[in-house]
Amino acid sequence: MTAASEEDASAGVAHLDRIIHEPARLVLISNLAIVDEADFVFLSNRTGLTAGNISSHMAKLERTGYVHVAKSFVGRRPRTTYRITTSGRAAFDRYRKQVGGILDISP
Amino acid sequence: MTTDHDLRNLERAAYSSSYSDGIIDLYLGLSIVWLGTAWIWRPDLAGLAGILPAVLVVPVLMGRQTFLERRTGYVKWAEPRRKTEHRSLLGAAILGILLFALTIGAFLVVRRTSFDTGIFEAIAPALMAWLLALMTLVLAVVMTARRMIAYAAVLVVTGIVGAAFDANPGWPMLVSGLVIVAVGGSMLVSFLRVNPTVES
Repeated sequence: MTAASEEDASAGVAHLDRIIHEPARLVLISNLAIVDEADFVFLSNRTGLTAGNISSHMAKLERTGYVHVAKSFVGRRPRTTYRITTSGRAAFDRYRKQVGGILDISP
Repeated sequence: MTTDHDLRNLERAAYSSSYSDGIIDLYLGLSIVWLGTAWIWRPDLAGLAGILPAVLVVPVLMGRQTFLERRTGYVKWAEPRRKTEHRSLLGAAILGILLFALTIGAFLVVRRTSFDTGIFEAIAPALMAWLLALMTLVLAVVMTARRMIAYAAVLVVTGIVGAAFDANPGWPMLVSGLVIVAVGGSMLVSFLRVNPTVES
């Protein structure tokens, strides 16, 4: 790697969206990006994350406006449904482009 | 997760795993066992045996959805996947009706005309199994499940063996159905072990 490309890569990493860059949140938002909406159980099965982990990361994604959370009941059972928002999808696409760019200039 | 290709693979894997419960396999296997048994037991009424699996398909799918949601969760797939699924199901239904009409038509033509039925007689024991194999291949596309291709292969092979031994057309179906039931049953057992009921 040349000094210039190393600098480009460092600058790229510095500009990455930290909300999405965290591994657990990246896995969660990636799984939300491939569906219209999914509930807590589906995400837990797909990601292997614990209930506490999913709740705390989703709360962060919701606060940022990347994910919409809806709570409802199906019969007597509670259901928490997550959906990626338009700004969440845009941020995720931007993140993917940035990481793609960094990986392209890295050896 | 940086490329569209990665996301497509992730979606495909998630979609395929949504059929890992084995219920469709069990339904398919039991339907084929039922058809095979009908052909062996009452060949004169075998044509009507297909009504039961056809009637049961909607309750089975609805029951499966409720059963799955308590274990693997609820998901609404993205629009392109829903469209593909809808197209495939429609295609499968049309193909099923065409195959059914073709079989009945061929049966009536052979029965009412006097042309040489030698070739038909030779492959008759395999014909039903092969038609079911074709339907199973359609399911392989709908479910993106490779094991359905293996089931189709089992139906083709048992059909060939049935034709070679000039067996009742029910036997290839019965044997293949039992194989599919065994696979579906073992899938369901391991699915239940891995996915206990969870509150959302």
